Amino acid sequence: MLGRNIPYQPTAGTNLNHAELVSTKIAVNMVKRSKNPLLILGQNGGKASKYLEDLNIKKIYTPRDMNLLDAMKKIAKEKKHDLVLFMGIKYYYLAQAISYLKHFSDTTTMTLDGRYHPNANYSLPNMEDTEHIEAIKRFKMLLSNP
Amino acid sequence: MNPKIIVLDPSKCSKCNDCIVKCEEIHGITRVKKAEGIPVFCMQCENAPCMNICPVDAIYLKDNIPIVNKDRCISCSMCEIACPIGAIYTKERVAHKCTLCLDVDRITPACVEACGDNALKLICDECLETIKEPKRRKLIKLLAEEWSEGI
Repeated sequence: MLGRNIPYQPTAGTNLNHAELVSTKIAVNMVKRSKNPLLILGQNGGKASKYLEDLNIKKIYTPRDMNLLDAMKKIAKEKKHDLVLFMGIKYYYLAQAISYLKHFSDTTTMTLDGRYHPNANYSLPNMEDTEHIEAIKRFKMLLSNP
Repeated sequence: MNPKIIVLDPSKCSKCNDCIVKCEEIHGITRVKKAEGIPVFCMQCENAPCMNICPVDAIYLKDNIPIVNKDRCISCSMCEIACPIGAIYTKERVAHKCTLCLDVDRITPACVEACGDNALKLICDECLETIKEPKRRKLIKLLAEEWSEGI
């Protein structure tokens, strides 16, 4: 999964600070270490987002609960959440949202989609759909085991 | 190996001191030491010699990472002698070593976040296997070429 060390050409992102690639294990460790994580779930997660629905993390469903950009403003203003996870949101829309958090807040962002997001702080690498579902299953399994 | 370690790519390191400054900011005293301008990080050994040699059991494991208990440490420097890479040292009567920031409220190690050159990476056993895989493929390709040339 992490064999692809350089997901894109280095100049392809909007900034020189690209997201760090993480494996599921490191992602789980980060969630366990964070004090107040938040999971933002979109509509396009497919099968993978079902595995995350019963996790014991505070969740915001977008756009059902809140518009994504409103959620971003809330996170940046409240400074309550130290780690924000994203999943199942349209690629370009999420890119804008995490770009906002990158520039205007200290919150650490991590994307759990099967696509690399250069604007996040941490991101899973580009993956096939089946590979991505396996990674999310593993994420859930490791997170629920103490 | 341990669940995670910090790996440094010396070819990317620009010797800027950012990791050391950040470590000092977070922990009061830097836990990273430099060798020829390049920082050396604790390898978080699974069978840690520093922990085994400690006469007062001041080094304990948290998530398989050895951490120094400052109250117990008697600053005897035995760990310093035992450490194979010189990543632990005693100063102000306490031993200091990298703990991947497990003893402070941080999600990831501060130095990894501070590194502007992307020379530092947090690696786990899962990642190592996938890093090795392309190398194995390369070897197989080389061997296959040699074999076909031989024919």
